Amino acid sequence: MNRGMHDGQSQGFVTVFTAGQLFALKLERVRDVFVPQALSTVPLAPPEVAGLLNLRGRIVTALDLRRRLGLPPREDGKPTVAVGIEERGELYGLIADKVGDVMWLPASQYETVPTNLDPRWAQVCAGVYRLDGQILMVLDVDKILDFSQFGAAA
Amino acid sequence: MRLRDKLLPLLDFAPLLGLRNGETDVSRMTHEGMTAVVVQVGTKHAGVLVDNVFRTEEIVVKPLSSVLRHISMFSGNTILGDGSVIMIVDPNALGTAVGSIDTHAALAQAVPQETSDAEQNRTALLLFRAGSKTLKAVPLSLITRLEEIALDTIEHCNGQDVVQYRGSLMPLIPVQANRAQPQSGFQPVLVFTDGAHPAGLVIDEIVDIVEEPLVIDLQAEAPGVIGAAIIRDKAVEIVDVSHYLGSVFDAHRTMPPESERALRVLLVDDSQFFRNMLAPLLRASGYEVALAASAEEALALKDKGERFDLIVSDIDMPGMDGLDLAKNLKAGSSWAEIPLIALSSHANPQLVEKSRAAGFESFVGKFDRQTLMHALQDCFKGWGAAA
Repeated sequence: MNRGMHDGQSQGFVTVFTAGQLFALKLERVRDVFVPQALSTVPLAPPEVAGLLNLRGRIVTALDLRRRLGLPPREDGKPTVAVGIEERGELYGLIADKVGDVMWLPASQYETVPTNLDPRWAQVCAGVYRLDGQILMVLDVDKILDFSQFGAAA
Repeated sequence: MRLRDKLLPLLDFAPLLGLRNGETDVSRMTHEGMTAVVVQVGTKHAGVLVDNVFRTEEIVVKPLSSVLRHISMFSGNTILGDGSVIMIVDPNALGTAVGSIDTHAALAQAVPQETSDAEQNRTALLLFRAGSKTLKAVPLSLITRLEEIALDTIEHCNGQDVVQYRGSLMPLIPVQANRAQPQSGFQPVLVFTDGAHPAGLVIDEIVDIVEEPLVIDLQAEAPGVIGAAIIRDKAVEIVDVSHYLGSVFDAHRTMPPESERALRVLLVDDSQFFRNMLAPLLRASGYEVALAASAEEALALKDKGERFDLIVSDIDMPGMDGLDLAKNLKAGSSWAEIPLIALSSHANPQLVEKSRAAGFESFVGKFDRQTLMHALQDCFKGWGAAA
């Protein structure tokens, strides 16, 4: 939607829903969006690691966005979607409930992280957009993948 | 647990992985039985309790994602043939776990010297059954892989059973011809390879892998059998793999050019077993083979004026050993120019060095068929170029 707004002043985002919240990831960081299948769980792994899966012959480490953000766990059997991100030659899949639209939003409306945000979220939040009726939280991929913070959210 | 007269420390795998926390369910163990995978880490052995063993698969270990790299239990991960991702357990981590419970290890370490000599003469053998109740054996080192092949993937082609295996067709040769084949389930197969070409020997069941001194007691009359030996107090037939698979491998073989005369190889080995095993292989590769059961016999052939293009000799022989034979030949005899390849079941660096000093061109482990074939080719390449 709003492809016409793609100019120097706007930025592209992939949006996902997780636990009823809308989150956004910068479009240029997203490699692909796929439905995670045949997830192999990894014993002894941090709780944020949902498991490993095979995406076209490459091993992807699936990270549960709910766990990472300290949100309540997903009900078993509910469909999920994964946002593929490549970081230092490794593939990660951020698992969310549902993928939303790709949005182009004007940079002028980008706001810094509100000070009253839950510190656990503030840690991984790059900024927010105020949309009609809801707040779009832009996630900082580098901070999401900061493994030193893993295990703390649970 | 007691395994082959040795006490084996048992590790319960699930708690090591943080799964099924708590005590090992001993009652389940004694009443229902459990599966243990026996691992060797360094000098330590341990049984690792698992729920289930699925199959063997050859894999390429891929590095772990950096978020998982701190987990010492895993050394990597990989994608299996069915596309699923699997974690690879680091045996060293298991070794560490064994170390913490194995108080007898120190005692066991104290007496290695007495046994090492006997140990060195042991041969690892795969025991299996095929066609009859009689135990059969093949030197483990000849086998490339043990596979269980789903019966519904076996196809019939070109008058033989084949299976698609790693991107090529692998012929399946039954030890017992015309055997009744069940329609479903898995078929154990011993995979042998000749260069890039695999062939599968179809058997009924794999019984065990043993490491025993191998003495052939009875020479065989029957085709396909090298002889019989006593292994663990049981009569075992030593199977002649080349009888079953020779024709398959021959089909692939690129024979030396017809115009040249066959290259003559002298095989010197005191063990009838090895002479019987290697001679057909060499012949199948297009060499003309002469045999000598001792260094003295080899020297007698030399004195009779026989000529060879290459000599393959065992190192460890009663009477004159391979090293002395080599020194003798290299010391200005009429055979001084003939390249020598050393064979030995103990491949330690000192022995390799000694054999080189004695005049051997190369040194090959006794069961290392592939390396031997390559060494032969290399020697002849050099020889051909020089001629």
